Amino acid sequence: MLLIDIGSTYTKLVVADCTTMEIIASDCSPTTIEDVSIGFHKALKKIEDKCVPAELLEERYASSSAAGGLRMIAIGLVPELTMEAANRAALGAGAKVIKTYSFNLSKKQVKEIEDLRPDIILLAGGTDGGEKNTIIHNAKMIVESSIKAPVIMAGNSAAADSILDIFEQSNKPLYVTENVMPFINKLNVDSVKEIIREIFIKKIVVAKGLSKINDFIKGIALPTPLAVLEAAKTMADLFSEGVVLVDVGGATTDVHSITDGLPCDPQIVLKGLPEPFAKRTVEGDLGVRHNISSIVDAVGKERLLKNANVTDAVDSNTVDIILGQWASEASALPKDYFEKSIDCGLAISAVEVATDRHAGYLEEIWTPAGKILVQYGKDLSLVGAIIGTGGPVINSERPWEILEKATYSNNNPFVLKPKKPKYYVDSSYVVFSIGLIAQINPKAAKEIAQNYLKKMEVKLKYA
Amino acid sequence: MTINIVTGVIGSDVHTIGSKLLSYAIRKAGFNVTDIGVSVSQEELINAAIETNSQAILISSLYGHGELDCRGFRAKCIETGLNDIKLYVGGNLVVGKIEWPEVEKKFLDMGFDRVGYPGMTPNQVIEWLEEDLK
Repeated sequence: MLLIDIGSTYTKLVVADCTTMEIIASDCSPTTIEDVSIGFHKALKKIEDKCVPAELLEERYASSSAAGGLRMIAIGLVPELTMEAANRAALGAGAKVIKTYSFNLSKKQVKEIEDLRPDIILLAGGTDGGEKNTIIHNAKMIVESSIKAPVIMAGNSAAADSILDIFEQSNKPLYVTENVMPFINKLNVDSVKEIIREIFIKKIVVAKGLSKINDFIKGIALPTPLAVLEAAKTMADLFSEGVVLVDVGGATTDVHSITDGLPCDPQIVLKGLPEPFAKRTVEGDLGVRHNISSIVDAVGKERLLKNANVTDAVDSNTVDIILGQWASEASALPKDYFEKSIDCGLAISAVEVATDRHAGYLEEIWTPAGKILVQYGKDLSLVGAIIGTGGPVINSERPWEILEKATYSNNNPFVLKPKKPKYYVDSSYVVFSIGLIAQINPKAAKEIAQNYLKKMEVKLKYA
Repeated sequence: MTINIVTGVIGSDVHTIGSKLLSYAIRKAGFNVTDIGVSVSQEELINAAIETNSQAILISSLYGHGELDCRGFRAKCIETGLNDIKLYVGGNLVVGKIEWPEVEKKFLDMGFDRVGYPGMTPNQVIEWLEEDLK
């Protein structure tokens, strides 16, 4: 079976055998945006040289995040409720949420959406039988605008008829599905996810010029981030308390946690919007090339240098110059040991901050009846494994130091990060392929993941 | 048409039983209840009422800090567009030996429409709701 990922930077190919349950070969070539088939055939040639001619690999599936990925806008009513629910539904479907809006859209905001040119708009607002004026207003604003993107209506079901009427006159595409929040504090993302996937396959793939390789493959199956999330779900079955998967990239650092994340002590009060079992967060300010300055802001220069293991003797100006170069040239790779250390320091810092934001946390509250502990978000302390992927982790000489930052720290005892996980590094870029195989043959995906992970475990240096 | 109502225990209070009983009883009486649980803030109650288009918010409090927790609630409702919403509060609302009429007045002055004394039955609340909302 041939698995293909047309990524934003690299086109990756993996050959997997679903009878021996092994990954046979993998390789990659830079993605060629103008015509993705060029990069694809280059990578294919490498694979053919390594193992078998492509004709023999009849089953072919692909994921893609080229041409900016799946860019979405999420609209809700109250920021903490339906807007956040819509945001999570879009992230869970593998989208890049470029902006979120709440309450009534203004003309200025509509203009902003027109300029942002999203691929899909997710329109939520109101629980079923709850508030509906806002979502109806927002639907009208979209219909009256020049926005052409397909709209998914996943809000108050009582507003569906009115919204269908509003869209009927225009020839704008509308998909009506289940509410992302049918009642307060209930998150319902599965049906939205299905529709996003359907639209992705039908429309987005063509729009992004990926149809050129469509004949060769069996259609683009998934947006890449969804393939990665599905892979994490497959791997989570191999550990009793689930997994955390971190994907460090040049533009974002993504964190996925697959576990229920409920409090481990019944005395702890859980608060806030329920978390999805498979949760994905995207930190758009923590890419190790595009957002170097915001990483420095987040952790401070001093800690970045410490994370990079750079001693005081080194002129900090030298570091600034290197960081400056990387910031202006996103595809730059570290050239020597010193640069590798700095690159590693960036990844360590990004993972530390990204997982702090992703994980749940505890808060102590003193009441007349004594102290109570309140948990917000997911408790990841019992999670069995941390899996690292993305160039900066895979190419690092000290990947364990990066992944270790995704775990619990005594300095920050209220952040509920994994306490005793095993560490794995996706050293041959195959994580996405496991997510793709899982769509066709979940059982095989699980076994292939198990065999692959066996080889990919990294031990801590001092362990 | 169904009437939507939000219930919850305000502040740092985690005493859940009274509010759960009340939610159960008014649900049985035909109202559509969104119970957002214990230890909720004013903002959480308001957000839930906006999303569900509720006509009343019923606040429970047992631990004696109800007055502090409820201050400014009516103003916030008006600020967020919940102009006509009915606000009820009930339970063990203050600490110390203060006569009930005084407690009731305190909360009515804060903008609540109905104030329930300790030990009041849910039936009284249902009567109020029917009088105020139907």
